Amino acid sequence: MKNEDLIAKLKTIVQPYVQDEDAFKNLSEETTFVGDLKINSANLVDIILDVEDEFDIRIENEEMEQMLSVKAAMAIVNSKITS
Amino acid sequence: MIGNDIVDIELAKRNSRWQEQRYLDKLFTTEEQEFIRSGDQQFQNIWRLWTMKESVYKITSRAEGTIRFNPTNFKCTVLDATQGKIIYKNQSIATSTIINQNFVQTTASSNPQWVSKIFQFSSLDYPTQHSESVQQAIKAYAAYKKVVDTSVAVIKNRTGIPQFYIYGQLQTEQLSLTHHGLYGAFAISVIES
Repeated sequence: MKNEDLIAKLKTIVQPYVQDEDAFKNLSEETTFVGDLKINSANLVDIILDVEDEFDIRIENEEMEQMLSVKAAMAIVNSKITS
Repeated sequence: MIGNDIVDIELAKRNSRWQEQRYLDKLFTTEEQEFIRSGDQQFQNIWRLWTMKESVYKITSRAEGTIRFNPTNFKCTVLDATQGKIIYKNQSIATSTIINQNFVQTTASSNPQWVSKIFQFSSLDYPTQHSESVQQAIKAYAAYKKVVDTSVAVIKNRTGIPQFYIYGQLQTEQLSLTHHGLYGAFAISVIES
């Protein structure tokens, strides 16, 4: 999958939980979910489940630990859908 | 060290996949899931354990200086209706939880001397809520230190942790802020360390 397509899908997934709209508008690979988008940590699991469903993958708890930025989420999704 | 966390019950009900087993498996150990299913308060039990983990996470992530999302490494023990403890990497940290129909709120502290206050916001706007939380904390802290409110400031350090200043001097008491939905809280560790 192209990076732009992947980012677009991630944007759709995180949007319902975003609390900083400016950071969302300027979303890049470096954007962090909690620090930048001000997503409540209670919703991180919802995002991870939505990512699992969207890409039909399963993310282990050890992998979830690092899934705190757009870049990290992209790396995990890419490793799962190409393998 | 101090940490706190609040969950707005109405918001959590509609904005979370808490009813799914996959959700529970990502947050809770088998023993914790047994506690959650015991009795008829499954929904409240989820948020009680979640706020316990999150409030202690705020303490340990500050101490370690790293962020990660590893909720199952924070093992909850519920002692009674309000008190509990979390075991994380051989440390045990006490927690105190308040549950009512509107919110679930936990304060965790390695120091038994702390004060906390829960409040309802006037708006759902994030910057407004942040500034209202800071004003609440400043008011309480100024009263405790017997100084005027205007001499107190709350400034985040470079890792994002809010700290108290009086007339520009960094103070040793620790502060933790939390908000979710319509509710927020501060907790202040009141013994100078």
